Amino acid sequence: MSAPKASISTLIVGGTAAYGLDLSPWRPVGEPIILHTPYGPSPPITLLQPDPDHPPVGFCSRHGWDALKRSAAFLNHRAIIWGAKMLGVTTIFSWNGVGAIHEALDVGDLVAPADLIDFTRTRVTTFGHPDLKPASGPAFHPAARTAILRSLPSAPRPSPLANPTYVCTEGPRLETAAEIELYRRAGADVVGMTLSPEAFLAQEAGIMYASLGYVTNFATGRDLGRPPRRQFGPVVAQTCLPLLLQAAAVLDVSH
Amino acid sequence: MPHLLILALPIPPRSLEMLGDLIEERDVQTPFGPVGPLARRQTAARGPGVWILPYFGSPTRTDPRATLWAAKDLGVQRILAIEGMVGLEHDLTRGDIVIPIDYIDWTKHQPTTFFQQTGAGYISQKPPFCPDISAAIRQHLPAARPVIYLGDEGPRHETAAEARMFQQWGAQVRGLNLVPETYLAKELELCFAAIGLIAAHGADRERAYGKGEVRRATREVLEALPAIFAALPDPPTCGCNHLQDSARQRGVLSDDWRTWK
Repeated sequence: MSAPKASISTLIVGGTAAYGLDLSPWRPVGEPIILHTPYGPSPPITLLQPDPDHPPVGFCSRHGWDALKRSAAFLNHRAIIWGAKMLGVTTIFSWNGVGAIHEALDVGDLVAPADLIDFTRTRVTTFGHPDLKPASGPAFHPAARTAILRSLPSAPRPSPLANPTYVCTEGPRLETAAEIELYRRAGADVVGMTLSPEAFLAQEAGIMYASLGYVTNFATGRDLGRPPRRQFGPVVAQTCLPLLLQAAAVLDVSH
Repeated sequence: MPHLLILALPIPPRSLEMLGDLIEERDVQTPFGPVGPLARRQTAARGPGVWILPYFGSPTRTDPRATLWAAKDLGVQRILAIEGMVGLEHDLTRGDIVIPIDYIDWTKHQPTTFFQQTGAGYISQKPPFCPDISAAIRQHLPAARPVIYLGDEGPRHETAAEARMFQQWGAQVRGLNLVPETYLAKELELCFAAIGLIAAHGADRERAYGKGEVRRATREVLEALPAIFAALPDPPTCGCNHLQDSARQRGVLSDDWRTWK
């Protein structure tokens, strides 16, 4: 393990629309850091310090820097999480575009998933490291999740679901209506392709992990007569990043 | 453009004579392995002709990417698969003809995409099967029952407990040859749809013994094929051949599909 060039306690992992995001409003500090992990290089991590009273927070784009370069199944999830560990990160906040399965959800809504069902099948879901315990307990760390929930009131609408369950599909294709119906019967409220194994690897690495879901679309067959809407644009990142920076500040104060 | 007929059930070659004379046989080499032999039949009335690919009987599956790459290489736009399926729903019996209208992917070791290095595999599955081909099937096989298809890994049969679980999930039939083919076809902008012949009952039911009903239904399907192919609109109205327009416009994919990855 090479010596980290900086030490940060919080990393924000950006999903939908993180690629190509202009970070200047959040005051980047120094050059992006790439960590050389046993699993390959981490994505470039940029330090952001929007508030001089709080320490800098790390930020990286999960799917690539200037465009959606890779779909979730082919990301190096282990390099992201191990890189975070090398930097001394104790909390990871991520954002993800999610499809609405639950009828109470509309495009643009924000949710903090409370649980996770894993329908992926090709991904490496463990470090397999002898010193690390298998992931167990809540899929999302309660304190980190609470910090996200506390940052939510400034969002356009309050979160309509208190404890949504996220189902992670393999992708990269979208789901069929029949598959979404199966996930709905299984208890899923939102669908995405990212959080497994990211959440489980963070758990193994002993990093508190929680995620903010931005409802980007209705899941296949779940528009329920509503006009089809989609939001995959920059507004997703511009909404989620400040909320997660606020969550980081909430956590910093509560420690 | 010739069509491709995938035969995922045993059919004697002479029963395909209504599709025209055998004019060519070919093997296709693909980056995912060889495919073939494919046989091309064409009627005297000319028409686009049909490549025919037997697609069953091996203990291991053909790499679906090889099949679809070969189709693209042969200039095919439309793929029709005929498969012998397991009837999960208890109303379905041997010899019933079905048309899959949606699917659940329960494969475990099949490729999920051609696109590991770009985001070009992010494709809507609405509609799950090509609307043009599906409409032609329903027009000329009006008795074909619309069903939700469960694409299983195989080659083993399902267990009785799995058959019950698949029904709880909403699946009505089970098969091994349409998934992931149907969504990988979309990635290459190919049309893909299927006709199913119920050849067995789910493992939670008593075994059904044959009295020639599958053979009779197979003949009915084969006899409808020329009319189904003739009913396909030209040019296509389904949009399958434009599924990567936006990826091309964004520069994610080039105009040469052979470079796609």
